[in-house]
Amino acid sequence: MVIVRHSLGVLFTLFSASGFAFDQYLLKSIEQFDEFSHVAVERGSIFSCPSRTEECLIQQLNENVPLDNVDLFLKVSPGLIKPRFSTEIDGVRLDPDDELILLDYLMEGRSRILFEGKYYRWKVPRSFEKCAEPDNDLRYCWAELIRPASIERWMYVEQNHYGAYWVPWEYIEVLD
Amino acid sequence: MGYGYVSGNPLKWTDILGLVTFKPGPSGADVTGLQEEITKLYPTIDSTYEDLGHDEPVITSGTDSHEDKPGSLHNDGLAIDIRGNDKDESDNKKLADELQSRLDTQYGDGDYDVIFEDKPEEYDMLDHIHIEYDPDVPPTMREDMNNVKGDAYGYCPA
Repeated sequence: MVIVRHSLGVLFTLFSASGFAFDQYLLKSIEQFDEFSHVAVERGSIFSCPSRTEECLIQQLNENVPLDNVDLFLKVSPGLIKPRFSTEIDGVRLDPDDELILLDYLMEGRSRILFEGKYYRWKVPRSFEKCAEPDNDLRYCWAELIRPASIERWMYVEQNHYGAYWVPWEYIEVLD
Repeated sequence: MGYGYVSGNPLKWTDILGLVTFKPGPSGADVTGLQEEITKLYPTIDSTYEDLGHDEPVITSGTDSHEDKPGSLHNDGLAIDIRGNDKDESDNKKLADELQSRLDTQYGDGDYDVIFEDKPEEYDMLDHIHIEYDPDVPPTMREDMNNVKGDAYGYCPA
């Protein structure tokens, strides 16, 4: 099953089958990738899904493979944060028992947060070091990081000879 | 990438205070809509770069190019980006830390947020230091924090 939902102008695809953990997101993120129109698979493996598990592995690549259509996705294994105290942000009441899902970094210090079915753009710690100091910054440290988010970049590629497949970003060579 | 200095084409650059030697970015960063909360920082930013031995800072983004980012303080004239792609990660971090320290000292903790936006390697050309006026820790949040008994979270009682 594939659930597609639109939020904040970004396409989220939540995979709950095909070998993916239910709590992993694929975030389409093509804004910066638009600058790179010509790429090739430099080395490594190609996969039938954005997972390095054996069941997704299609084959190893031994030579550069030019790509016809490409798209860049972020695979996000969500993190977890909790409010350190009861408070209110952007009109949302938050309590220490609440669990906030930490997704990707949106720049300018803000992260995408999923809470009770809605997405927010809040400043929260993404690393344990961020709020380690006693005089930590309340802009971020109103929340406690319980589990960091893990993000990998994958490219979805369509190529006549191989069909459609997934390639980890580090296997990609930018040609222009 | 054509990212050399372009001081000969300051199409939209306005040195409001007449004090600094900032240069606009390659496409002419739009600084015309920046508010005083940002423009008053120019001398501090300029002296920080000079004191740390770097060339004059270059604003690469002001009120431009953030229309597609709802909630960005760039859209309100309360944020600027300064070029970081001409420095390595270590220098950018030192600059960001020093700027944060000086702005905290000069204007009080919590008014300004300085962030080194460190892009992945292949996007190094987009590295920059983001400075925004963001005093939006609501007073109620500080009260909320102070109502927490003990120091379980490592906070110093106010």
